[in-house]
Amino acid sequence: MTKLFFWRRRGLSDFADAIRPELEAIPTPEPTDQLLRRILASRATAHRIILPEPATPRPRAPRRTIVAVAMAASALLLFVPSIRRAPSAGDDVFASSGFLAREAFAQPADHDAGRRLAPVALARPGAIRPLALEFSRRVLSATRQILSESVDSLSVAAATVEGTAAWQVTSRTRDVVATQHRVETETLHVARADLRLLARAIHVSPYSRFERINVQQRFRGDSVTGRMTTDGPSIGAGRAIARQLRPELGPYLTNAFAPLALMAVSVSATWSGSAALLGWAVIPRDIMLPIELSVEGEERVTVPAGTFDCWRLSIRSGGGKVDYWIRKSDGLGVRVLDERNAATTGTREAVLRRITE
Amino acid sequence: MALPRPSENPREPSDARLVADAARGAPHALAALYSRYAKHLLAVAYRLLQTTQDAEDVVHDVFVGLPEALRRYEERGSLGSWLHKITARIALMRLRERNARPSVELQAQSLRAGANTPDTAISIEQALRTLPPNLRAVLVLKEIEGFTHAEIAAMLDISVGASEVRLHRALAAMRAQLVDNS
Repeated sequence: MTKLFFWRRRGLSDFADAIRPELEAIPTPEPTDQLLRRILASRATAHRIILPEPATPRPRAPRRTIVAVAMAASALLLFVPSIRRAPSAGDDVFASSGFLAREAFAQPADHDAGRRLAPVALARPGAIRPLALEFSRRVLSATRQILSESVDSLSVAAATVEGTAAWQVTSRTRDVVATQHRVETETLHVARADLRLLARAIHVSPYSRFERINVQQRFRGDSVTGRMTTDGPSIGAGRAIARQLRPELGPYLTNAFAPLALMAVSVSATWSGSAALLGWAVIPRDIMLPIELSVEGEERVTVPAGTFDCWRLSIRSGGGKVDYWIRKSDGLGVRVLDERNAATTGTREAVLRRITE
Repeated sequence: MALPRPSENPREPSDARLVADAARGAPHALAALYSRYAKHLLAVAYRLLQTTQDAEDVVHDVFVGLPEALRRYEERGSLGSWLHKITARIALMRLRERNARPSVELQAQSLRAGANTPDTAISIEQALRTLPPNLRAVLVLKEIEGFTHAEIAAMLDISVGASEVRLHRALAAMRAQLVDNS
């Protein structure tokens, strides 16, 4: 009581000094052997987590610097009507990531790039068949050390959508983003007869500040429609999706269908073609990403699922290039190597780990 | 709050030796670092998150990610200080995730056993727990963990001034509550 009496009269810094010993004496849990066993078990199962760097204090900017920056910002606002922003961690940017490209961070809806190559012809729809695949996805440092690793599973099964015979392609990715475990699932239905897109559902949990994001898409003619919603917190009715998918930029491939797509194509040593990776289509910059594929050689490739004679393709989009290997026997994707950001975020690689037919 | 000091016993491996072994993923080195630093790291995480489960999850993530992180570790300060900062950052990230999910009930419970604890200490613990998470985080980081306002500002992505204001508000709220309870 005496101490409390003085706290009323003295400053907050004195109060802080007075309570500090008691704050430090508040009991905290003891580390247990069970927790250590859990840690070692996680390590043993190749579970990997990328830790953040310790935060470094930012130097305070001098007042004249702040004034100069403010003036420059005002000038930019006056003379530059709009600047396309890249998404940052704190933004609610509803956009996709992908198997063939790190981010299907697509071109604007009015993308007008002329296409040099003929559209990929999915001329052998009968080649798609029920199967289950596992891909191991890794990010490697310049010295080939594994920075992160995850396993993607993918399955193909027969289904029917509103009376149309279809394939249901389900992909599931589990990874760790900034120490947070994340699961992304895509369920895609394509028509068995011609592999046209019918419907697609995507769930990512967690996503940004939300417990879960849900994207539902339906495809009719040259349009994709649907809705994006979130859970925890909900943004109510969400955002409507209504975009035109220009036929001349197709065929449109999704993340789940990408490793299977060339099974339906007759690939040869001189083959090339163009297609587009479909984004979530929630924001204008994430509708589709045009890509061009070309065979660049043939190689025997060994991955955990086995050794396969493969076509080595390049996938080009904008200025970047990704290497992609497909089996010569059936066009199934076996390996993807993306070294576009090797010096900064690392080399990204996905390899076929298991195939069950 | 004093950080654990590296072992001075010549029979025990040095931090530098353990860091080199742990960076190669050696389980014995990871276990040795755990026995040396886990108590302190668990305390940091618990003070910020107020639940044993969340604190253990944070320490789990720190040690699972440690071998890869140690390959990037530069020996500028002590290992303990480096781990302290990383653990605080991960705990704050978890705190932000939890705050974004208001439906999740905080299961904060005192770890004090028995009734023979000084009343004032219990009141301070209760008062700390009732602070809003953003104020409590600054109070814990500054007054218990010994971070500077500049370091706290960088961790929370706020300005130094905002960190100072939050500490002032946290202390004022604590004092008001303790005086009311008296």
